[in-house]
Amino acid sequence: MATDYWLNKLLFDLQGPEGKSRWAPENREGTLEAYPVSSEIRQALLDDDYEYLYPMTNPYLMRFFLLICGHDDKKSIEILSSINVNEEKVHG
Amino acid sequence: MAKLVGSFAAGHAPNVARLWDSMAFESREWLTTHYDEMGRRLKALDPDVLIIHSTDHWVNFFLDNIPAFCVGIGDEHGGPPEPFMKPVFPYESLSGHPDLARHIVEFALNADFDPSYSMKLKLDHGMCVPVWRMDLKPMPAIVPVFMNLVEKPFPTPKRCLAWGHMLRDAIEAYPDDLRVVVLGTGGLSHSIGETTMGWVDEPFDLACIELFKSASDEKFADDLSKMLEKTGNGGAELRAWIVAHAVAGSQGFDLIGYTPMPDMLIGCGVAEWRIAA
Repeated sequence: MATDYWLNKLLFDLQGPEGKSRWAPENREGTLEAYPVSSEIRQALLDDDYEYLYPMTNPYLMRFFLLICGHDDKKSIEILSSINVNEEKVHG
Repeated sequence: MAKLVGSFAAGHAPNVARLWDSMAFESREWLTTHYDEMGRRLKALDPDVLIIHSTDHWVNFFLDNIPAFCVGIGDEHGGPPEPFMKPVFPYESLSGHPDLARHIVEFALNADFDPSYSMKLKLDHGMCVPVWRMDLKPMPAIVPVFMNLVEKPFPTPKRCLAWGHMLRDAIEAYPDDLRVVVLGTGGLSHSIGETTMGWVDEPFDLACIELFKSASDEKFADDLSKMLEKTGNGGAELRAWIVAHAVAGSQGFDLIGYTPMPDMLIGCGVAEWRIAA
């Protein structure tokens, strides 16, 4: 569920035409300056810590985020299925 | 007076566009055959207006404001902004029917519904994948109705049934002679961005198909509300099918085809409803 506004806003904005270059490793820190996320979320974004981000993120935006991070469907399924979470608690 | 002449529903998986040239031959064949058949039936009805219900996939709305129902009242609507749609979708924009759309909004408000409306919407893959695959020429005017089916809470199945019945009344109360077709898009089961991503819940899909065939509105709403809690998040898009079901009078349907399609990440269904008098 989208419980953190700015985290989800970042992912939403990355859908734009410049999204891929804005999230290229060399541009991430600069891109993040416009989004007042907590230090923990910021670090998880920089570390590709999807498990930390997952409970706060809308699933459709998470799917898009994995794509923009370079993961195809097969790899995205692998990443997501490895996340240890109570799905009912997270997504209702 | 306007007349409802058809009601259809179909899946709208983005991979249909994204992987069109590289998907398995069997998948492309199935999609071609069944969407062509839906297109053939729809074209035979010679519609003036196509009212499409689908979810918005984070294109028009964000957490600042997410309407449960939003009716597009613009003279025209933007085409899909997703990069994977650009190579396949032939239109930069699609004509609307602002007069009918405004009539629907006003009729809905007078019937105790509270839709939002917008003069400026982009139609994402949710509406444009089925339209593309049906190859509608000429393209009828489109009245888009976005439903929130991506971020909970969602409108209930019961409310979507009521919306569909209200929409039928609204269409039939429109004074000009128009031939109107309703199309609901999305579903059937799928799981997107969840730990179960890739799961196609075939038992859920088959149970939904049985409900569409013969269930009363009350049973339909009760059963589906429970079933949706136990399947992947994409199952929420069945609500667009519910509108197509209710607008037709909840009198059963003709399943044009269904198949689990793991490479598209969905249980893919295509259907036409019988229009009750």
